Order: sequence, then structure tokens, then C-alpha cells
Amino acid sequence: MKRYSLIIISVSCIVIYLIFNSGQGVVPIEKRDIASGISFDIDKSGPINEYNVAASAYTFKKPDEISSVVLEGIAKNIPDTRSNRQNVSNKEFFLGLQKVFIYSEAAAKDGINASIDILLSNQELNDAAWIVVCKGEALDMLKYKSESLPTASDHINGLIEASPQQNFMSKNYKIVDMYVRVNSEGRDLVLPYLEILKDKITLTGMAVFKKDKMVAQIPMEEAIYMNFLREDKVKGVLTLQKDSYHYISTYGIVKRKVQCEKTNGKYKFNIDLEFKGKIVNNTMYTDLMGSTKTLEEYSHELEEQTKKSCYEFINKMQNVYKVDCLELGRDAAATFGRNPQTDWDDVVCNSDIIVNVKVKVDNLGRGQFLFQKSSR
Amino acid sequence: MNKKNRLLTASELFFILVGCIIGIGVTSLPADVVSIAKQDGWISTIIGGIYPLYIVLMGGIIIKKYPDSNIMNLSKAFFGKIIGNILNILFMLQFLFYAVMVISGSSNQLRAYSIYFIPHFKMVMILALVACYASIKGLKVLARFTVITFFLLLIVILASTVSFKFASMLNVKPFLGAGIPKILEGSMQSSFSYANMEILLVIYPYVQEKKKILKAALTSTFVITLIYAWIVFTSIYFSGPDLVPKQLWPFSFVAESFKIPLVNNFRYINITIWIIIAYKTIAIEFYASTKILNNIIKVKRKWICFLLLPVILIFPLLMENEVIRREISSKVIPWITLFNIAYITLIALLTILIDKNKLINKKGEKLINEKI
Repeated sequence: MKRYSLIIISVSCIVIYLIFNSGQGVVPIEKRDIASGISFDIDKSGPINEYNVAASAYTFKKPDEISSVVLEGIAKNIPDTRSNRQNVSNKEFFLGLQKVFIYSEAAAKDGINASIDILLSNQELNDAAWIVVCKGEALDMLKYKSESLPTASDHINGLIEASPQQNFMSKNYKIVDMYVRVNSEGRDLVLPYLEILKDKITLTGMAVFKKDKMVAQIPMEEAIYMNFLREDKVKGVLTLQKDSYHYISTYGIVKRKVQCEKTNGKYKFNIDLEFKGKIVNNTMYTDLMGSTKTLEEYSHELEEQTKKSCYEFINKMQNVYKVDCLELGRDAAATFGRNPQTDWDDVVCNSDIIVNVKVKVDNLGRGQFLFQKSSR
Repeated sequence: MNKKNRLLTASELFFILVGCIIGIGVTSLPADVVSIAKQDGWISTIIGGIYPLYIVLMGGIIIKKYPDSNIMNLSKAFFGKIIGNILNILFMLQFLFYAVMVISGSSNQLRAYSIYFIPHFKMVMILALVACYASIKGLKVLARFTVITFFLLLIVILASTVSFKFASMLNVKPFLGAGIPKILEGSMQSSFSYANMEILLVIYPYVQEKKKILKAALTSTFVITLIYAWIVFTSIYFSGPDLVPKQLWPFSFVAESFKIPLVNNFRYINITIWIIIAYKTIAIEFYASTKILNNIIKVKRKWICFLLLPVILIFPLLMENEVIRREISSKVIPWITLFNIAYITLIALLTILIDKNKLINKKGEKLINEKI
């Protein structure tokens, strides 16, 4: 019996090898176009839209030296650009290690549903890639030559990855975040907005989407307050400034809680924000280190000023952008029931939004250079 | 191997029941339920657990009175040989049907997620052959196999908890917001995925500790309901009720979402585990169908395995497309469920009504032979 089983096992091994040998051997890395970033451009001038989807791919010429090449594909729809891209490339295309997807502003304004579908259905895709919107042509952004990194996509990847350190930016600008936000009830997508300024890729604001279409570009000064109101557990600096020589800044983390009430069909939102942080620079209060009273006074003043700026933003959001970029509809839907017919953008823009900011200073750093003992 | 070693322990029965019901199909369960019950899909799933509970309780009545028989012998004794055998064949066909469904479904999912370069027929061939081989080996081997796969399943379930960091409770709120009618409708849908609890009535005579059978079966029902509810809950929690119905396998999407150092993506670990889980489900279902056929035609079970092998080799080939497979299963499974409820209720009722000692044939032999 043992002899037979040996024969059976060896024969079955050979059979399994023959069946599962798919003919696809290992392709060396030099023979593949490994995409590091994809750009989406649109040309709406003709009778039918023309898409330009370009990929920047790594090229490996010498050992330890990586450069890149940009492959363009122009067609009347997105999947056809793949065929055109292959026509200019001498390698197999490989998607899956890409780091960033760049939409031009025009493409984002035209709607991104088609591209979301092509990404969602693709099983080779890595869902952790970043999505950004850029001013002008996305192709120019892809062609940007980074000083230290092989492709512009690597540069943008680093830029977005590092952005949560400041400006209250969150980490939710990945593909998977796009899937769960676009077309979900009470949710709206916001993405980083990039520009090339002085030959450098710069984060200049946020692009706000309604459903799958970009509707507004918010400059960074305002976007700080949008992020402040929108995200939970994000970091940034809040500054209280009187003049050029008197100001005080706190770097901290903000926690957010939303409560929603409904009276007579009108919604009322309470956004409770707790900003907790460390004073990084202080030229305004000389006795801050020694007096709890001054600390309280400062906290109170910062609360008031932040509230004012927040209301300014909310006012602009309700009257100019007319989108619920704070995702308040999500909380309302979770509290009062979901109904796909409700236009939460509209509801939020016509509702009362109350902001409560609480500032807590938990750290003064190593000391205060301009310290004077208070006379009080 | 002596006879005693072949008998199952109560805990092995638990693992077999869990293993038989939870297959690779759970990854698509959230899509079916959430499309009806929205964010309350997980409540529907818990309510759907009534179906296996009912089967177990009905089974409990049968097991108490005839601890050494099985449902095939009982139906032959109650309805006569011809009608009893027809019912048994129908009962067998459902296991065969589920085996075919799981084979084609696993092949479709595995090809969609990772091994897209292997054509459908090769996947079907390997799945069917391995499952057939495993089921030839008998119940004890399958039981040990299910013990391993149960813990593999737990790895996937535990891994999904990592995703809790990234999403928000707001996705599952408001509780009961979809409305009670919708939730009940969703629980009807979810009850179909609790199929195969019927295997208890085929394998219970092989359990050593007769008194612990019911306890093991009830525990397994509870655990299965818990795991199902968890799977649906995490899917909704992670993707939100709007995205879940747009995917074919929402739970796989959850498992893919997080990065692990070194491995980078959890997808391939996930898929490897699901392959093993799929094998086990197919093997048990195939075992059950051969066991029932073995009772009808008295041929060695090994040969019956070879006899039925073409069925699970050929039919999955017709379901290369996931859309076709789901349409077929959505049309057939409600009837199977109805048949099971009717059949098992009838047997249980007759068990109570008919006196055990009156069941003798013309020759004076007892129809229900106590030894199998």
C-alpha cells in the first residue's frame, strides 16, 4: 500500500503542476511599468469629452538608480486610455503599487463617478493610495521633477503623508475614504488641493465635493477652520495676535463631538470642540508662567477668537459654498434616521450651527523668555 | 482503528456544525442583508438565527427518542420505503446543491481577489477533488479538519476588529431606524445563509455522548449567529450602509483595509484562510450527501463519493459568472429552506405521535434498527 501511495502522490504532484502552470512566469522588474502615480485630465472642448489618463512609471536602468517616465493615454473614456498607454510603452503595465491619484480641477468638476467605479472594480488596486486635486493640468503635476525622489508621485505621497502635522489636516484622503464618502448619505468628500507655486508643489487649500463633483476650492486660511470643525483628533496651531510684536500661539490637538437636535423640522447642531495643546510662542502675556488667572484669560480670549473664525467659515459655507463640508448631515442621519431622499447639504445650510470651543493649555514648554513676575 | 475511535466527541460535533454552516459565503452575506435592512442588517442577522435554532430544537425531539437512528431511517420507517426514499433523495440533493454553490462561489471569489490567472475549470477541479478526497476519509477526519479551520476563522474575525480604529459608530446608527418590517424582511434573507444545520440529523448517531448533543448544537447555533452578526456589523461599521450593497464581497473589503508591517496587505493571508475554510465546507456538505445516498442504495460510501464527484465537477462549471450563481441560488434556496422546515417538522411530529414499538414490519423486525 505504501508503494502505491508514493506513486499516487508523485503522479498527482506532476498533474497538479501541469494544470496550474498558467504559463505566466515571473516577469523581471525591468520589464514592467510600475505605476507610481496616475493623473486624470479632461478636455471638454470637443463634442465628446476626451480623457487623458497618464501614468508615471519607474524605470530601472542601472543598479541603485531609479528614474521615471510618464506614459500618456488619450481616449474618449477612461478604460480605453489603457490601450493607448500600452501603445507608447515597451513594457507590461502594472498597477498596484501606485501612491497617488491626481485629478485636474476640470476633471474633478466634471464628476469622478466613472473613475471611482474603475478603481473599485479593480482587484489589483492598492486602496491606500492618496487622492488629490490640482490646479491646471494634472499631467504637469505628474511631470514635475522632484529633487530627491524619482517621481513627482513620491513627492506628493510624502507631502500628504506629512500634512497631518499641521493645519488640522486629517489622514482621510485615501482611495478607501473616497469610496465610503462619495454618494453616502450625509457625507461629503474633501481632498487636498495642490498647486505648483514657485516651482514647488504646494498644498494651497482643500477641494470640496458635492456627491461626485467638485464644487469649491477653499484656500488654506479658511480650510484650517474647516478642518478644525470637521475632523476629530487633528493637530494644528491657533494664534492670537494683536500686532506684529504681540501674539501667542498654541500647537495642539482638537477633539470633536457633534450633537444634533430637531425642533419643528428645523435642525440645530452643536459642535463641541476641545482644543488641548502646548504654548509654542508667547510675546503677549508676560506673566503667563506665574499666573493661572492670565492663563484663563488667554484661554477665554482664544476660545472667543476661534469661535468667531469658525462662525465666519460656517457663514460662508452656508451662503457661498452651499455644501455640508462639515459632515453634519451624517450625525443628523445617524440620530434621526436615514432617508436617501434627504438633501443633507440643503438641510445643513439652512440650519443653526452652534460652535463651542474649549481651550486647554496643558504644557508651557521649557519656559518663558519674556517672563516678568506679575504685579497683580 | 476501532469503533470507539471513530465516534465524535460533543465538541467535535460543535466544530462540524460551525464548519458546515460558515463558509466562504459569509463574505457576501452583508451585501444581501444590508440592501434590505440598511444599517440594521446585523439585527436582521441575529433574528435570522431563529431558523437554525428551530432545526436544532426539532432535532432535539428526534434525538431524544431515537438516539441511535438518523433522519433517513426514520423517514423510511414513517413513510414507507418508496416515499421515504424520495424524501431522502430530495434531502440529499440540497447538500449536493450547496456543495456546487460553494465550489463555484469560492472559485469566483478567489479568482476575483487574487488568483485571477487560473481559469475557472481548474479551480473547480481542484476544489472538488480535494473536497471529495477529504470526505472519503470519513467523519472523524473532517471533524479534526473543522477544529483547525474554526481557529483560522477566528483569526479573520479578530483581524477585522483592527478596522474599528478607522471608522465610526455613526455608520450603524440609528438602531432600528430601517423599520421593523424591513428588518424582518432582511432576516428572511439572512436565514438562507444559515442553511445546512440539517446535517445534525444525519450525523448525530456518531456522537459518543448522547446527552451532550443538544447542548453542543445549541452552542454552535449561538456561536454561528454571533459570528454572522459580527461580520455584518463590521462591514456596516466600516463601509457604511450605502457602500456595502455596492460590493460583491463586502467583508473581504474590511479585511483588506489595513496594512501589516512586512506583509503590507492582509489580502493574501485572508484569501489563503478562506480557501481552507471553503474546502472544509464543501467536504462536509459532500460527505453529508454521500452519507444519505449510502443509506438509500447500499453501496460502499467510497464508491458513492466517486459516483457523485462528476456532479460537483460539472455543475459549478456552468456558474462561471457570479451574477448567474447568485440568481440561481436566490431562486432555489427559499424552496430548500421551506422543504427542510416542512420535512423536519413532519418527522419530529411523527416522532412524538407514533409509538416506537409499533414500528415493526411484516416479519416482526423492528424497522428502526438501533445499530447503524
